Amino acid sequence: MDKQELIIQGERKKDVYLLRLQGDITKPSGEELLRWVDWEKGLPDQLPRLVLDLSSVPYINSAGIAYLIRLVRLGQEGGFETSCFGVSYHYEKLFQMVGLTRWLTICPSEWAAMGE
Amino acid sequence: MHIQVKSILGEEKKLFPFMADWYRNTRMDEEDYQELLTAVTEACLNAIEHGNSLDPHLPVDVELISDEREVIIRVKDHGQGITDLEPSPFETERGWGLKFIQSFVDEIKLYHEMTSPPRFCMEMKKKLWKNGWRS
Repeated sequence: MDKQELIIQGERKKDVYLLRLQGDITKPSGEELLRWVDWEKGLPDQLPRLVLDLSSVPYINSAGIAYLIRLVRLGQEGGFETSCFGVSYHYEKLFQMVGLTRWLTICPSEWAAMGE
Repeated sequence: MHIQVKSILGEEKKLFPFMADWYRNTRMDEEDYQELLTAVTEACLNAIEHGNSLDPHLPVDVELISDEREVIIRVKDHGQGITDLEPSPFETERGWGLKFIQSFVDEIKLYHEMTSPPRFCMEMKKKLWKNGWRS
């Protein structure tokens, strides 16, 4: 795998853990994403909300979507809600088709996702 | 158009520039193109991972033929192949890939080419004007 396939940067903003993702979400990078935090134990500082910035993610394949599903379901075990922004019309459709939108709220902007 | 990729995860992304070049010369609606691109990359991913079992020495061949009305794409690997897409185990990542392929093209044919060695082929056909033309 190209080591630069996905760059992950996490930061705390008020009561939100904001995860900025840059690159593709596929099988190798999806595994990296799941290892980033021990998700089922909750977010750092037990924050209640995770927001994924997908605005710099040009490619997500079926394996990558499977990892996103695992992440948001682990979030349920970890006691936090997950939302995202920066999703194209096409990927919103794919997320809907596999049922990811049952657990993941898609927001139209960073402002909306952060609840500012 | 013919592209050959190695059976390594990520190689399917090598299709992007070729598909984009082809798309620029069509009047296909952008969302129709995104659907086609997803179907083709998922078919290629299946060929890499399941058809050729990630053996980097085995190539995946992708052929694209189009006219003003439709595009035909053939994805060929060296595996046993599948005989039917139904019922697909949709609750798995592979199942979702197949679901995307089924949803985003108009016709699918599965067959073996009697070459030596024989190859499995997934042939996908999509109308170029499903959602109207791009202006």
